[in-house]
Amino acid sequence: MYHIAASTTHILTMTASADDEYVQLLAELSQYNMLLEQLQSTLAEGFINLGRANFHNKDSLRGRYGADYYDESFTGLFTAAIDKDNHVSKVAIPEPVQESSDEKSGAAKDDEKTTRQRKDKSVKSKEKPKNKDPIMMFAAGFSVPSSLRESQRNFKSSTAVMFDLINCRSDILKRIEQLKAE
Amino acid sequence: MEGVYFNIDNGYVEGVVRGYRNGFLTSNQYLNLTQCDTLEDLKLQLSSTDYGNFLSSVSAEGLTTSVIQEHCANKLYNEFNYIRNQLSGLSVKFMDYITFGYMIDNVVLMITGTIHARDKSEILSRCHPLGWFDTLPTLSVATDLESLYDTVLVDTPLAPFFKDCFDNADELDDLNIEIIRNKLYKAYLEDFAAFVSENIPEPSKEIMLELLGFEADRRSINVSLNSLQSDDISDELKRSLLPNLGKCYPVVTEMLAKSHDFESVRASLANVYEFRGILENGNLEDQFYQLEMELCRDAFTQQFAISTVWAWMKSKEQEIRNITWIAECIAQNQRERINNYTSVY
Repeated sequence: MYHIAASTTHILTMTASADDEYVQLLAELSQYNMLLEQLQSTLAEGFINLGRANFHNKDSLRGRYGADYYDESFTGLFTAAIDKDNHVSKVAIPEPVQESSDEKSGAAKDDEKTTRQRKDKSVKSKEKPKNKDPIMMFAAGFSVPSSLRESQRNFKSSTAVMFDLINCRSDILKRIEQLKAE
Repeated sequence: MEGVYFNIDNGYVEGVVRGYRNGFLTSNQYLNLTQCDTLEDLKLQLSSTDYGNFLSSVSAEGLTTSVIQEHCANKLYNEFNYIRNQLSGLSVKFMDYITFGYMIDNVVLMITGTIHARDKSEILSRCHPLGWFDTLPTLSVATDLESLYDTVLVDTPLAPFFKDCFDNADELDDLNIEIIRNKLYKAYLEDFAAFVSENIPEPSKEIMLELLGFEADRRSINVSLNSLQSDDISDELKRSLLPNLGKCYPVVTEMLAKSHDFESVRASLANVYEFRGILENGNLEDQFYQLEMELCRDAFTQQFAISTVWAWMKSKEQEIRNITWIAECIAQNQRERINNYTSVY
């Protein structure tokens, strides 16, 4: 009797545990759908705002905000790190070390041409960072319409959703594997 | 008296331009375009307008928004070149002045492409055809502005516009190039206005000065607003970018140069009747387009005026922007915003 009761309890415990796993899976699938919808709407907003920015780009009919303006030397704003659970997270690229203005003015004196170009820079201590805001590629971000900035905001917010989607997908696949193994 | 002599040299061209003006898309035609479900439908609708079968060589798979925009723009450039080839004397100089604006854009595009490590042939293919000049490809050796000017730009029509661009001997980066572009455009607008004042008879002179003044005001307001987002623009630099032309000049221009926040820009613009509510009533660029199109539409009411060419060009550019926007909304299935175009004809 005791053994039957123990096995029944064991079976009931296992069933409850499997139900929990399936409930978790359903919750994750629901989360995945929600994130997918969120990504779809963010990207759609981004692209329509980009189209509106092209409409407002009055200076040249041929100047669509796109590959024409890209800075090929741009290395990106951040990297994505993947851990052992296949989870993705954002890692900011560190800013490059800036030279001091004293070193710069010393180097400038040795080269006449550089001195002519940089005579004002020996007074200024400004050095433009390499990892600039990508909007600077488009007319230095100075003459861009507000819709382009809005488009950039939409696309930036979509990267966080993409990371959540990838992580959610990894979790779902892992859980399916666990359930198959049981 | 302008009616007596104008038609001798310019009558044919004005006739052609007015024919083009009658072919502008009307509000009913725009409504038909907005009701298209696909880009193929849009192509079909456009074939019943002045555009005709300009997309006949494009297959259904290759029909994109960029392709439509490119074909519309090419049609415009061909019409512009046809008109320019019929003219002589001062009228040709007037047409040349229209192209200087595109030349400035091309120069900036070449220099920007070089500092962005882009391939020269790729950038050249994106240059505006109406702003082409023979030495444009040699700008890809951009190192600093002074050597570029001495080797290439001094022999171009843009040479006189560079006189104020050498004040800051900074390296060519994105922001400095944009500042140079704004300085060039300021000098260009002022020079164009001087040419019109001295050489173009009435009523063209009055209409052109109003249109150029509007362009200068638009630039002044945009520069004032955009400089609020950048810490690198001093008051003195900002003033050097604002044209000495238009309804804002001289009083409001000085106020805009000294404005450091949105409220002070708004307070400055309250002094100009035409721009008094422009920062409150919806999107700024859309309102500028609406004002510009109304000025261009009214420009056609005067006969025997070369200013109709400028008005036609700007109206046609706006029409192409409208068609491109409608095509984008159809392609992206964003129907709720499809009616955000500017139509006055």
